[in-house]
Amino acid sequence: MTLQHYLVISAILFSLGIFAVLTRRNAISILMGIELILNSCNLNFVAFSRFVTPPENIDGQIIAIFGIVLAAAEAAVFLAIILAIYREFGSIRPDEVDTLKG
Amino acid sequence: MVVLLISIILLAPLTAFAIHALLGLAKQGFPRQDILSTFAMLVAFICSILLFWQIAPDPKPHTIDWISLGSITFSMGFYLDSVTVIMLIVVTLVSSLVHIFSIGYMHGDPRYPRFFAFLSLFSFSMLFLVVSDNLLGIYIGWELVGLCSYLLIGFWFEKDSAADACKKAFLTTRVGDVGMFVGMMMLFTRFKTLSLYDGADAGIFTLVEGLSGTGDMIWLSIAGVLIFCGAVGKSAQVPLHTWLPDAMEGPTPVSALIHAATMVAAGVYLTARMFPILTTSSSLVIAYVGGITAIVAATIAIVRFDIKRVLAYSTVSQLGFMMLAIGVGSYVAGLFHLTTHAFFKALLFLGSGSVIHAFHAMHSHHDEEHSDDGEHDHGLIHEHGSEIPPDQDMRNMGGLRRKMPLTFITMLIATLSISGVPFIFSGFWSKDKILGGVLERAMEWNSIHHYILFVVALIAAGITAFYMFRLIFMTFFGVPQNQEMHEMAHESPWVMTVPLLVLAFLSIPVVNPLWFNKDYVKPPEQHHIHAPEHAQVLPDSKTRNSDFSFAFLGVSDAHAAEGEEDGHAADAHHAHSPAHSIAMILSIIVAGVGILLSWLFYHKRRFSAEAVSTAFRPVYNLFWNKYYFDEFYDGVLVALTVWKSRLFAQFDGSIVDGIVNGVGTVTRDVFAAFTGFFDNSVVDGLVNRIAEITWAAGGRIRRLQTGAIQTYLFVVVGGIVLIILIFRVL
Amino acid sequence: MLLSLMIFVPLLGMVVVLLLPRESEELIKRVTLLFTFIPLILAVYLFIAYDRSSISSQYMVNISWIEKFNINYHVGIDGLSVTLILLTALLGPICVIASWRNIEKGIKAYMALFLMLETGMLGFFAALDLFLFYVFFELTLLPMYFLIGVWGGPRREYAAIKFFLYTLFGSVLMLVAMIAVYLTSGDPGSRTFDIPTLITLASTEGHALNDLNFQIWVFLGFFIGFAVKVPIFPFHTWLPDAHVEAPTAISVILAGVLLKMGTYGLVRINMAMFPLGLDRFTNGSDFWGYSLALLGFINIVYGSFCALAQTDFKKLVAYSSIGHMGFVILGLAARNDTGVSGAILQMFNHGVISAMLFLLVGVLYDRAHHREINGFGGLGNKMPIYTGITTLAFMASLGLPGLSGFVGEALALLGAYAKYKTLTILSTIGIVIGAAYFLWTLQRVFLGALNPDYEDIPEINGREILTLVPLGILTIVLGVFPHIVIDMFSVSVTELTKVMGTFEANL
Repeated sequence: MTLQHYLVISAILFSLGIFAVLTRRNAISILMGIELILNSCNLNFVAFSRFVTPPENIDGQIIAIFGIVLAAAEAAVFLAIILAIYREFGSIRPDEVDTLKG
Repeated sequence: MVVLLISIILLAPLTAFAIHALLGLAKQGFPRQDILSTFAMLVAFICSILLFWQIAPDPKPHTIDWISLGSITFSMGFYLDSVTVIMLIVVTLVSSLVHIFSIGYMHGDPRYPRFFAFLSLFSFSMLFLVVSDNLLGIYIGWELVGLCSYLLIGFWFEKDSAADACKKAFLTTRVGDVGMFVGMMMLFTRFKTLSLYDGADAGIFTLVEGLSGTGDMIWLSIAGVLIFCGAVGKSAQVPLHTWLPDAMEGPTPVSALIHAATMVAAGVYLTARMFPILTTSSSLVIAYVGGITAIVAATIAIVRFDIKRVLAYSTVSQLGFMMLAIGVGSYVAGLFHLTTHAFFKALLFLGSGSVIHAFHAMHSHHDEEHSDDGEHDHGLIHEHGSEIPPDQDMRNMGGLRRKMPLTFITMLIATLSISGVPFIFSGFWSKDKILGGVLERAMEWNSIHHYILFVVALIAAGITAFYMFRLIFMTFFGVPQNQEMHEMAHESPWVMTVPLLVLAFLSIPVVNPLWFNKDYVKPPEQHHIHAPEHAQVLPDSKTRNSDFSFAFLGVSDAHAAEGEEDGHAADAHHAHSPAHSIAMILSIIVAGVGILLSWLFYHKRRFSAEAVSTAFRPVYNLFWNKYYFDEFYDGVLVALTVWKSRLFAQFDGSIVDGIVNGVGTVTRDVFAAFTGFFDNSVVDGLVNRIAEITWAAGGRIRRLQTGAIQTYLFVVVGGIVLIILIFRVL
Repeated sequence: MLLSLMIFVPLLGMVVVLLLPRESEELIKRVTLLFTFIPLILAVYLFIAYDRSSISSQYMVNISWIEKFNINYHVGIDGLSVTLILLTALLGPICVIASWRNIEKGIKAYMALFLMLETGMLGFFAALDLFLFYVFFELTLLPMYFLIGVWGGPRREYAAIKFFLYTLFGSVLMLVAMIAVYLTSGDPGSRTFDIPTLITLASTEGHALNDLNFQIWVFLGFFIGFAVKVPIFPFHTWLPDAHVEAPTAISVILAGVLLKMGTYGLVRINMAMFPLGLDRFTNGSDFWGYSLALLGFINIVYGSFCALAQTDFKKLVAYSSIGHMGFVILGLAARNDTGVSGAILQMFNHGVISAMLFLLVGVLYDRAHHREINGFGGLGNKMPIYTGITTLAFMASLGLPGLSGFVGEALALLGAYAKYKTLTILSTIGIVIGAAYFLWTLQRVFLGALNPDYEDIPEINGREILTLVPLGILTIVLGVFPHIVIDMFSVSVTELTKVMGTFEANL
């Protein structure tokens, strides 16, 4: 397996994520899309770390772990926001939450 | 020793005042504070007596540097010669007696402690004035006694008349003081010092000797007259005399101490101190002012009915005599009259105080205050002279000699003294000395001025005898005019009569020893007095002029009278010129005539005073209205000053400030109007256009904001894709 | 360093006060008092430790500040400035105590502004760099504007704006003159704002600063700037308005210190730096040669007469200030030891006495809520201590010997007489009028029958006495021992007048 394989996988994951974020009408699904995007990035970091940098350098892996941690935190915050939005609007559909409309 | 004694003399009353002031500030005053002041004064008196034996024949001033400015040093210090010591004794003695008298007179006054505090401050200031060796020190003491006079005249300040009188006193004397200050500036600018006597550097009196030439003489004369202006104010000489009669609004002991014996005499003392710088012309000015004052005040005194105002005008008149004496070069005579006058005039005032006190028992000062709530005309100067308090009106008195024997006897002695009744009363000797001095100068110089002055002084002396006996007859003789008041009149308590007795004792020359020591007082030399061309210069005149002595007590003139040591009064006849004997005979005659007329008018009622006053209505009116001095000052000078101040204030408010505000308004209305127009149409127009465009654009662009997150995201992703496509990143 | 500490302690105090919560008013007042007390202690120390025999500035600090324009933070004191610093530092705590109960709103802002004002004033008197001098000069303007404009009387805005614009007008001219001096002081690169250096350069033969015409113009620029502050006729009309509207403590500072900034500037800049210019206006040879003395004379007589006509107590005191500052101008115009020493002494004494007068007016105003002189009467019996202190202050102000007002005036007049005989004699009218308006006021307020409206007016309280007693003591002590202050600056004055002496010799 070469670097390309990983990158292709990563690109597919990324595209799926984008697709989910843009098309889903449920905020939870959007969150899942975002998670996919994040994980595609993590995959890229690990892949580049494995194939490009010298073996003793593990910066990529560390960043990936940071990414995971961040994703967890982000998910928590996101869910909290969703909860609040639900209480306020009675819905978690983003197209119905448009108070910021100019 | 001298320094120590003087320090005690000065510090005793000052300490007393400081203690009074601190107690007052701490609201801890106690009723017997009178003892403190009285004790301090007695200490000062004893020290003054001790000092009498201490003075050096050729004294040097004791000085310390007060202010040093580069090349110029102002020093403070004291100078002690025989005149100073005599003044010290007179001041401390009269002050002590007045303190004692006040214990009785002021008893029960709500501000009793304050009265003694002011008396102490006054005594300190007066003593400071007396001992100072330089003009600055004298000026400081000078103003401080003025302050005390202000405070004490206004002691019963609830009375509008007292409040007016104290202000008038301060302001009138201040006019004179400014003249004195200008004189000091002239001397200072010329000599770079204000010390009078030679200390480390030469003093003014030494430096003055070096002056010569006409220009210098004119300059020195002006300086002398200006310094004399201070004395005119303080000693109530014409034309600044009007404050002194009004000053009688103060408590009577104050009148006795300040306005009879000491402060008003300070002017004479100052003029005497400045004797060496007096020139022929400034001396003549002084002599004329003195002479005019003597006659003007005496004529006003004739028609007064307020017992204190009679005495006040009499004081003015007597001070005129003293000035006259100094003006004609009779230094010793002037100072001699100062001391005798201090005693007998203080006695007269205290006696009148005793009479007032006797009439006063039923209504205290404070009942009176509140009844006196007439119109509150708070003018800058307001005249209250015409209303006489009932207890001071001689028309309410009469027949008091049996009720108040001690007061009567002592006042009679003083009256005999001031009237110039010969031989056993001190006033005779001193007044005779003055008249003799004037006549002598007149004969010596053959000067018409001095002859005129002699005649004026003689008439004034006669009038003095007349009005003083008028006072005695109206008060103590005849029948009581106001039975009710007469009933309750009583002799005063001993604290008041003892000072009277002491002063009466001092009005008899045999017990007045200070002056009669041969050559005790030597007049300083006057280098700038020149006899006129036509003078009959008598042999030995210079020596004689500088060496008056009091021959009548056994010490005759040093040069010519060795044979006349047996010391009785006839020796007053001067060995050199007939002037003194002529003067003496004439003065006895005028005094006799004055007393006789007074007796006829007011005791025997042979003539009616009313008839005479009706017959000479214009003259009477002139006297009654005090020569219209007050009217002139109020109507012209004060009105002019107030008018000018209003004018200035209006000028300030409307013109100066008007210009400022005008500039502001012009800036705002004209300049700002133009810029405003420019601003509105051009600058602001541009701004407004921009704003409008922005506003319109915003109205359209805001549609883009849908609020739907996914729309935004779609744009973002689309944008990224577009960027990738355009820039061919991949 | 001590000096800088003293200057900036109030500024530090301002920061502290700003950090305190708005509600804790007592704490704010106490902290302010503390931070005004420290400069007082330091100033007293400086006053005592100052070497009286040396002519050079002491406690100097000279640090580069804006290097590009050769501007330095240069401070130091000589006898003249240390005297005024002492005055400023003394009035600081007194004003805080005087404001203790009278300031009803925004005490925090008030105290903060007051502390800022104090730094400005202290710094002004210590600055030895022209730029710094100007900065401190302007630093006093801003707090003063707000203190009058926010905490003043009914017409406070008018008064505050008038004060601000007047002073600004003057200081703009001053700024122009200052820049002119800077540009003339040397080639680009060697230009300087340093006052001692400029003084030396201005008296160096052949230097561009030592040019009569140049000096006349910059003299005028500075002069107008300071004349507004003094204030000299006809630039005085802001003063009565500002005083009448300002709260008591601010009036005290205004009369006590701000007016002295004008005369201090005249001595420090106009006299020391531009002797040729000064000579032009004081040589007594023609109209312009009399002009400075003439202004002094006008101030004295005009101020006194205007005061006589006032019926507002505070306005009367304000006009009397104009009159008394006239003596300072007259003394300076005399340009001899006696006159200049008298003028400087009068600056200090007037600061003390006018502070007392304004405090006293404030005491009465707090009780009666008006200042109409004719509306009182007979208070002497109800408020004996207040009457006593007022009498003391009036007597000091009208120049009674034995109190401090006399010495300065007398020396100024004695000095001026040597040069301007007629004007000085005419100026003595001011002494009589001065006595007249003070005594008349004394009579209308305290003497006579009691006005029934004030049957139970309370006597002056302990806090008010506390503000007055130090000043009263100073008035008496300096009246008896004026050399305490005179010795501070006599050496500096001799140095200053030495230059003038050469002109006298040439006449």
